[in-house]
Formats: sequence, structure tokens, C-alpha cells
Amino acid sequence: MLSPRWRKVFRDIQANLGQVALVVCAIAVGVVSVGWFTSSYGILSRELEANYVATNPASAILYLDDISPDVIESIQSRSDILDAEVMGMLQGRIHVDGEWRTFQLYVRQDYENTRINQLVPEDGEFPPPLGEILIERAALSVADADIGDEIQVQIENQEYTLPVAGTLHDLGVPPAWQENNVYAYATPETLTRLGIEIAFDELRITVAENAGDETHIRNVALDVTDWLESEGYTVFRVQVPPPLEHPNQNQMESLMMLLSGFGSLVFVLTAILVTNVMSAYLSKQVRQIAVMKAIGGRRGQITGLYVGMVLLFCALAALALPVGVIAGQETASFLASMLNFNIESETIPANILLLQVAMGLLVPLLAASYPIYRGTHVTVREALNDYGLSQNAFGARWFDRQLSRVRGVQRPLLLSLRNTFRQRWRLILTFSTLAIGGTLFMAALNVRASLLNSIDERYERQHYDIAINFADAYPAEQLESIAIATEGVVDAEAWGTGSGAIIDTNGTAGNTFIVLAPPAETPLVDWEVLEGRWLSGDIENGIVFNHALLAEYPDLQVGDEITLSLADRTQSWRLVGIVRETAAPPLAYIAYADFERATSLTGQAQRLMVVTDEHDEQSLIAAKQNLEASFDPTGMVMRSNLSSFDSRQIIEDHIVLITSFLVMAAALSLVVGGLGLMTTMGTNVLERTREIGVMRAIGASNNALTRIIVGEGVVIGLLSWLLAAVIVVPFSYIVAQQLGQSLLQTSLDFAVNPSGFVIWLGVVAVFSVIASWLPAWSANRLTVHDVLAYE
Amino acid sequence: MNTYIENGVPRRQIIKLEGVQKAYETSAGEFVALRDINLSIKTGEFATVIGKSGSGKSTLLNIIAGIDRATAGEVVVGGTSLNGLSENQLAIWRGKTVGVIFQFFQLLPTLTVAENVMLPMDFGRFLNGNKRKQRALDLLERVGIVGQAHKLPHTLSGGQQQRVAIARALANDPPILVADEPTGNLDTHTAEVVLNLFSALVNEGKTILMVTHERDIETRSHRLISLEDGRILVDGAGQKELKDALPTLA
Ligand SMILES: Nc1ncnc2c1ncn2[C@@H]1O[C@H](COP(=O)(O)OP(=O)(O)O)[C@@H](O)[C@H]1O
Ligand SMILES: [Mg+2]
Repeated sequence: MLSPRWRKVFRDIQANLGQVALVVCAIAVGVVSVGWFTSSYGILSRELEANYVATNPASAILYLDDISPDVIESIQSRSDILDAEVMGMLQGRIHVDGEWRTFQLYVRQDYENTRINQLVPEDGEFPPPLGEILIERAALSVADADIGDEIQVQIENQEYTLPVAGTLHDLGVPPAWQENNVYAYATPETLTRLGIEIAFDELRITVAENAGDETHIRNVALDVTDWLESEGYTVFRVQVPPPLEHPNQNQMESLMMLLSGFGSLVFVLTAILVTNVMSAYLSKQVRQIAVMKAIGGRRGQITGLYVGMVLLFCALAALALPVGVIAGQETASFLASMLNFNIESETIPANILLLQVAMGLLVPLLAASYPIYRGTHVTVREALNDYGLSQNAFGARWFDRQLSRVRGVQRPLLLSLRNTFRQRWRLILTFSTLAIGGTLFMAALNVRASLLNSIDERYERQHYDIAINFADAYPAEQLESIAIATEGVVDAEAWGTGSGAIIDTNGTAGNTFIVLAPPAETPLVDWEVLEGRWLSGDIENGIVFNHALLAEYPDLQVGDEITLSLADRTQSWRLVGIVRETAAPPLAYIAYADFERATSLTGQAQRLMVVTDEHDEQSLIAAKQNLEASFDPTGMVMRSNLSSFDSRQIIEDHIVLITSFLVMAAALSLVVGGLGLMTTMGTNVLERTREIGVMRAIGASNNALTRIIVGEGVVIGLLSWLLAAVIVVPFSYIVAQQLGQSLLQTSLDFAVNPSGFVIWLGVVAVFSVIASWLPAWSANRLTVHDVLAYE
Repeated sequence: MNTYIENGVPRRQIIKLEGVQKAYETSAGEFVALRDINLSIKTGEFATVIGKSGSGKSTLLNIIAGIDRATAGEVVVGGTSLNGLSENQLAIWRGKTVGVIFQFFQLLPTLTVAENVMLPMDFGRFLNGNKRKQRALDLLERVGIVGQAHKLPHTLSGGQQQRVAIARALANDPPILVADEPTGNLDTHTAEVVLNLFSALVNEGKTILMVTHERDIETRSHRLISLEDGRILVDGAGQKELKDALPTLA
């Protein structure tokens, strides 16, 4: 049978079900949020890596001429090489809903046996039947096609109609919806039959050891390159992707950073709630604690009772853990489907489960420990006579004295103010709960606003509307004059373009990046210069990096000489400036005059930037069609054309997971913050039941009491709003900078979402009225006698 | 059970205070609530403390019960010097040695009457778990309310609650009972019942120290100690002492 003291614990729980429900809820919300975030984190990080590694991703990709099978065998037999495979890829366009999208057709030699960047059959036929293609599963919606449909594509200015025979899963390409690309797969025989010439010019290799070591991979790739060149092949470029890292790893990591950040803050919030309710609970029990001590209860025994109680609450709250885990699994599978990878196992890693249990038990216990310590520390005398209270008496501190000088305020409100500031410990807790809740809510919205603002800012600095890529270099003047003669076009500027790579001191080329060559004085872009300057009109071999490219070469500084390979020539360039170009891939800019000289493509250009007269979406679609029509008869082949709407959509699709997470985090903070508000306000009033009785005994009417209590609630609420509004600005600024660095390698253009402030103000106002009115109402129903006998 | 035995020797002086002083720190400076108290109480004595409100009665009782500490002087109760004991040691000692009875009963509201009586045994690890219930019922029988054993305290009258409190004070069979205005909240009739109970307990060998304002206390109490401004004004037995002390009563 249970001993009397433990029976007391259970009966007290029964007698205080409201408060107990609040603590258990608070712990449960904490447990759910931790369970949720750590579970999705645990599953995603394991599965993304496992999934990706399982496809045996290439360590390096070498681009060369067509290659013969026996060469591959020799490479495979090298001791530093695990495997090698060749493939081919053709870039074209696909006609979807009246516009052209980018289309990439991959050709593998043996679909039954893909060894590097393995392909996994999904639906329909596999391997691709003769004359038909397969589509990457995530690209089906971008192609707006189903299995059995036919798609219209254009390759090398020829149009083809291709039946879709099935889908497959290729983790080696980024999610199609984010790039607005369609990835398709066909056999060499199909291409032959279509009359398309295909070169197997991509050699993918995996290294035998240290597959995660980028330097090692680069060295191996260099050796292979040397050997190939000694065999008479030309290696145009070598690409070493971040080893064993899925193309979307950094989106994932940014998201995880936000997830764990918000998760831990929500947890802190719930911990404060626990502290709050427990301290209210213990202060109600002070007399009983004193009596227990007076009849021989030791402090350890009494502390044990309350610790036991909290553990019981934790155990109850732990029942909510599955909710968090399920939410985590759902989130993980949602993100997995967005990022186009499979979740093989939804089990939560053991260490994460352990962490969840430890946090679910330890944090509430820690949060309750101070109130328990304080509550069980009072001496019997302090608790049983009334002298002990004199220490917190109003008037003892400067602030109180100032407050009592306030004139011209209604009496009840003045009383509310004094009440508010009397219980400092309580006030600090209430404040921090409300302020953290509000800060989280507004911060989530601010960070989202900053992300969107950064994209706005980027487009503010870009003054062209359509960017056209041509399959070849054509005379620049001709490109410009054809475009300007087109309806809806007001200006056009031809830019040189090429792919560049930095050659290091050992002669090894790094990853390639796009080099754009606008006229130095171009009016079409004015990127923010972070360091150095923009291009000048002089012949100088000056190069400007965008911040994303600099991030790959963090050691480079403005003024440094770099060796750049561009259009198969290697020359020395000077880094003259760094520009910030939000959400752009790594890019470099050189002046068109330098480009002409460096590439001998004098007067030629492959890219055309077009300015239209109208800038709305419909006009841009029309202008693109007009441009297609203008260039079609000239024989100049367009590879792609992208309006600023299209490219903006692609950027927004890359961050949509994060922006929607932020909205969700805001909603969650609203719930937890609201819960916190109700709890703290409610316990505030409960703690003062005795005082309410005294006030009623001296003749305060129910109305006056309600006004005092609700007034106090509203004052606390408004002050907390003010505090949160002040804190949130630097807080969300810091978060936005961190997020910008991890997601876009640059800080975000900070923006504040004003409606967040307004909504939170409304929430605080409404909730603090409700939360203080309810207990005030029930206190009003107690008789004076009840209240004074209240323990 | 009739006499208090320590180390096999019957103790005559069960409570002994020498030069006890109690000062409180207040915002207005030091306030001396007890000054130079010398007092010794014998086993089986029924002593009553009287005095005006604020004269230091509760302070004196609290110091004897180990609830409060003297700022100077020596306090020996039940053969133990309280001066050197920690809070924890005091709690253990109190559980065994002193039963405390309060003016406002102070029963734990969520425990039944019987459970309230069992609680000190639980804390003090007195008796085996299974014997505690029986002892609680015996004690409740003794104070005449065994019929209410399974009710919650708030359903009982004040007099009944105070009798539960007495049963609780007796739970661990302490040699000393300390009661601060135990009848202060009771009507004359129920006060009578409680005081009769005290007399009976003294006859069984308990030592009782009680603060009270009851008028005819000298008929039961062996000894009257009257306080004024933290000093012992009168200390003795019988009619004369009471007469002398009467003006000091509130
Ligand atoms: N914690 C305290 N702080 C300051 N003064 C106190 C404290 N406790 C008691 N006193 C003062 O000590 C004096 C004696 O108190 P008390 O022993 O409670 O008197 P009584 O029980 O005789 O009415 C009173 O004047 C009271 O104001
Ligand atoms: Mg008193």
C-alpha cells in the first residue's frame, strides 16, 4: 500500500488537475517539439546520406572526347580507382504548356548495370525501350506528362516527339521542380534510330579510398587526367562535387539549423512554463511543507515528494513522445519527397531516442528544481507566521516608489501596476515566457520576410527581363539588332560567356563555373560591390567574382593574380572585385573587351540580355514567344531563355521548404506562446486568491476586482509585447544572417514583417484578457471565508 | 512509556533553557523578542505560558520545538542540545521528541484523518508500515474521533480537527507536546474537551508546554509562566502566580 506521503502527492494532483494539466501540457509540448525536430533530423541526415551513398555517387567527373571501352578498362584496373563509367548527355528543350523548359537527355551504355550514380527503376518499363524514353520521377510533373504520354522536345534545333515509357529514380540530379528542368534517359540505340549523334564524353570515377577527401579525389582525378592525355585524349574539365554530399545538402542543413534552433527555443519556453507553474504550485503548498517539517519531515523526504511528482508529470508527458516522433517521421518523409530521395527506414536512431528521453526527463526536472528548492527551503517559522512576507513588501525598491508616485491614473489600474511589480520572480518568469513566445513568432516571420526581401533586392539590381542562351557564339551586333526589332523589346545587350576554372599552382583545374562577359559599363546589372570594384572599360584582364564563387576559394583576396582557364586557354587574371549576387550559382564577370581578346571570339556572343517595355508575367511570356519567332528563321539556335519571372520562380522553389517551415514555426510559437500566456496569467491570479479575499473583505466589488486583475494581465501582456518587439529585431537579424550564410553564402537583406508585430499584439491583448478574466471570475465566486481558508 | 528515559536514566529536567535570547533583524533594526530566558521543565509537567500578544510566547515555544533558533544561550530538550543541530537533524529529532500542535490545526487537506495521523510515522520511519494504520486508529480512538478516520479534514468541526492534530502529535509517541494556543479557535465547550485530553496525557507521563488564554487554566496546569516583553515575569505553580500574572493577560 502506498505510504501517506505519496498518497498526498496523488491526491494533490487530483485536487489541482487544472495546474497539473498545464504542467503536463507544457512538458508534453516540449517533448513533442524535441521529438519532432530531433526525429526528423535523425531520420533525414541518416537517410539522405545513406540514400545518396547507396547510389555510389561519382567522386569526380571528367569531360573529354568520346572514349573507347578499353580505356575505361584500364582506368578501372588502376589501384586508386574503384570504378569508372562513361555516359553522355544532350541538352535540349522541352515544350510544356506553350513554353520551353530545359531538357537534359542522359544516355547510359548499360541500364541494367549502372554502377556509378546508379539509376533505380520506378514505374513503367525499364530499361528504356527502343525509341522511347524514361523520365526522372520528380521531373514528371515538370514535363507535365504521364507514362504513356508523348513529349515534344528540341535537340540541336531539331524537334522530336518522344513516348514516355516509364520513370526511374536518379539521386544524382537535383530535384526537378526546383530547377524547372526535365531529366530524361534513353539508350544509345534510340539515339541512333532518331539520328542523333551522341558522344560518351563524361567519364565518372569513384576513388578506391578516402572517398570523403576532396583533395585526395582531386589528386586522383589529376593522375587519371595526365594518363588520359598521355594516351592522346583531351580532358576539357574536371568536376569534383562535394564528396558524398547530395546536391541539396545545404538546403537540408539550413533547414536543420532552423529546426534545431526553433526546437530548442520552444523547449526553453516550455521549461520556463514548467518553472512557472511549479513555483506557483509550491508557493501554494508552503504551509503544508512547513507542517510536514514540523511533524518531523526531513527536507530530503519532502523534496523527494515534489521531484517524484515532476517525474510523474514527465512520465505522463512522455506519452506524447510518439506524437513528436510521428510528426518527425511525417516531416522527414515530406522533405524526402520534396528533395526526391527515399526513406528506407523510419526508425529513430538510438542516440536520438536517448536524447529525447533525457531531455524530456532532465529538462523539466531542472526547470522544476529551483521552485522546488525554494519552496522546500522555507523554515517552518517563516511559512507559518506572516512575518516572512514582509521582505517582499511593496515600497522597498526604487521602482516601486516611482510607481507609487504615478498620478492621474485610475485607482484600480494603479493597484494593478503595483501588483504587477510586487512579485519579481513571478514577473520575470511571466515576462520571459511571453517575450520568448512573441520573439519566436515574430522572428520566424521576420526571417521569412528577409529571405523574400533578399530576392526582391536581387531583382532590383537586375535590369534585364529575359536572358537567352544560344547554342553557339553568333555575331553580337546581329543578335542585338534582331532582338531590338522584336515587338515588346526595348533594348538588348549581347554578353560573352564561357566556362572557366581556376588552375592552382600544381596546374590542377578546380571545378568549372560560368564566366559572364558583359560590356564593362553595362547598365543591366549593378550588383552590390562587397570589395574592390566592378569591371572597368580598360583592357586589364580584370575579373570580378560573385560571393558564391569566392566562398569556394576563401583564401583569395582582391588584388590576387589567378590563373584561369577559359575557352581552352589559360591566362593570368587579376581579381579586382567581389560582388554580392543573392541566390546565384558561383559566377565570375569579365569585361567584354577582355573576353574578346582572351577567347578570340571577337564580336561574338552566346548570351543575350533583353529589356522589355512591359514587365508583367504575361508580357514576358509574349516577348519570349516573339523572340523565338524572330530568331527561328535566322538559324541561330536558342538553348534556353529565362525570364526574370522564371528565374525568380526557380529561386523561390529552392527556398520554399525553408519559408514554409518558418510559417509553421511561427504557428507553433503562437500556440506555445499562447499556452504560456494562459498559464502564467492564470497562475498569477491563482496565487493571489488570498489577497483577493482580503480585498473583498474590505469591500471591493466583483467588478472592481475583475478590473484590477484583468488590468494587471493586460499590463503584463503589453509590456511583454514591447519587450519582445525590442528583442526580436536583433534576434531575427542574427538568425537571418546565419541562415543566409548557410543557405546562400551571403547575409540576407534584413526585413521586418510588420504584420507579425500586429498579430502578436492582438494575440497578447486577447489572451491576457481571457487568461486573467477566467481565474478572476472563478475567484469572484469564492466567499471571503473560502478564500481566507484557502491553502 | 510513563517516564522519559535516556541512557537508562530517568531525566528529571526534560526541557532546559539557559540565558536564551532571540533577536530578529527587521528593517527598523534589531528587535529582541526574548531576553535572558532561564527555564527548566520537568518530565511529566504541564506548563502553561501566558502573556500579552507580542510578549514572545510563540517565539519561546518555537525555540523549544526546534522550529526557530535562539540567537544566544543554550537549549537542551529531551537530552539533546539543539544549538548544534542542522535543519535536517532538527527535523529528525523533532519527529521523535516533540509533537507540535498549532492554533489553526494545520491538517493536510488532501489526506484523510487517519492518513494525517500516519504521516509523522511515515516520515520518522516509526513502526513497521503495516502497524502504522492500527496505531493511527488507536490514537484516534484515544482522542475520541475514530469514527471520522476516513474523512477529509475539512468535513470535521474545529474541535474535531484539533483532536486529529493531537493524535498526529502523538503519532511517534514523543515525550513532549508543544501547543501554541490550541484552543484559540475553539468554542468553550470544545476547548474543554481538548484541555481534558491534555490533562489525561499528562497523567500518562507526557510533558506539555502550552500557550493559552484560557481563564481557568490554573486548575489543570502544574505551572504558569508569564512573559512580558520577552522576559519571564512570573514562574510558579498555583493560584498566587496566576493572580500576579493576570494583569499581564490580554
Ligand atoms: N520573524 C520576525 N521578525 C520580526 N519580528 C518578529 C518575528 N517574529 C516575531 N517577531 C516579534 O517578536 C515579538 C514576539 O512575537 P511572538 O513570539 O509571536 O509573540 P506572541 O506569541 O507572544 O504573541 C513580537 O513583537 C513580534 O513582532
Ligand atoms: Mg503567538
